[in-house]
Amino acid sequence: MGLIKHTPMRLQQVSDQDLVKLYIGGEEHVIEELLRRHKSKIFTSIYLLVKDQYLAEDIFQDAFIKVINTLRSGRYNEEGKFLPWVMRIAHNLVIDYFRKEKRTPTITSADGTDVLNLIQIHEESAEERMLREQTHVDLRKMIHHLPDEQKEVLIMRHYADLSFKEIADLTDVSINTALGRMRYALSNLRKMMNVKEAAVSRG
Amino acid sequence: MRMTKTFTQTNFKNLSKPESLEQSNMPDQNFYEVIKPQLNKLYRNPSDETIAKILNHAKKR
Repeated sequence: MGLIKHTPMRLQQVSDQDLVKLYIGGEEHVIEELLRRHKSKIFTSIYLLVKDQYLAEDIFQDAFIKVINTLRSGRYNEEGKFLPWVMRIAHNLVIDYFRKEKRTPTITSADGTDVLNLIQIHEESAEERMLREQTHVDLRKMIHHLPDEQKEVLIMRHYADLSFKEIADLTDVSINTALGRMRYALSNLRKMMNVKEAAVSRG
Repeated sequence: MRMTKTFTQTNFKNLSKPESLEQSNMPDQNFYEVIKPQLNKLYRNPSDETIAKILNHAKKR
C-alpha cells in the first residue's frame, strides 16, 4: 500500500492494519485515529479490571507507549489484529500490576470518578439518582463481584469487543472454556440482580 | 488371527466449535441482550491529558 496523505474523513475509512502501516511509514498523526477508534473499549476494559480511574489512566498510557515503541522497532506482527494485540498488552500490564501489588482485586468504595459522581448527585432528583445508582454503580459492583476469570471474559467480550477465539488466545484457554466463563458470568449477574430486586421489593 | 486397525482422531481443528453465545444456544443470551444497554452505560474514556501524552510520544522520533 502506498503512503497516501489522508484527509480526516478518508482516514476513518482506512483499516486498522493500514493505519498501522501508515504509522510505521512515518505518518505519526494516524495514531490519533487508532486512539479515537479504540480508546473507549480499551480504557473501559482496563478500568473495570483495576477499578481505579487514575491507575487505569496510567496503564492505558503505558500500553499505548508500548504499542508505539513496538511499531517503531518493527517488531509488530502484521498477522494479528490491532485491537486484540493492544488488549493483550493492556491485559499483561494489568496482570503485572496485581503481581507487583501482591493482592487480588478488591471492591473499592470510591475513586476519583465516584467523587465526581457524588458532586453530580446534587443536581439530580432522588428518582434519577436511584436510577443512576442502579444502572451504574450497582452493575459495576456486580461485575466486580464476579470471579476474576468470568469478569475478564465479560469485559473482553462486551467492552473490548473481542471474539471468543481472541479471548481464548489471550487468556490461554479453549474457546469452549471462554464461552463457559461468559455463561457463568451472565448467570451470576442475573442471580445478583434477582437478589437485589428481591431486597428492593421487600423494602 | 485378524488384526483390527483402530483409529483415534487427533486433529480436532475441523470440529465445529461455538464461536458465539448464540451458537452455543445458551438461555442467558436473552438476559445478555437485556442488560447490554446497562453495560454500555459503563463505557468511559481516558482523560484528554493522557491522550495528549500518548500523542506527544507518538510524534517523537
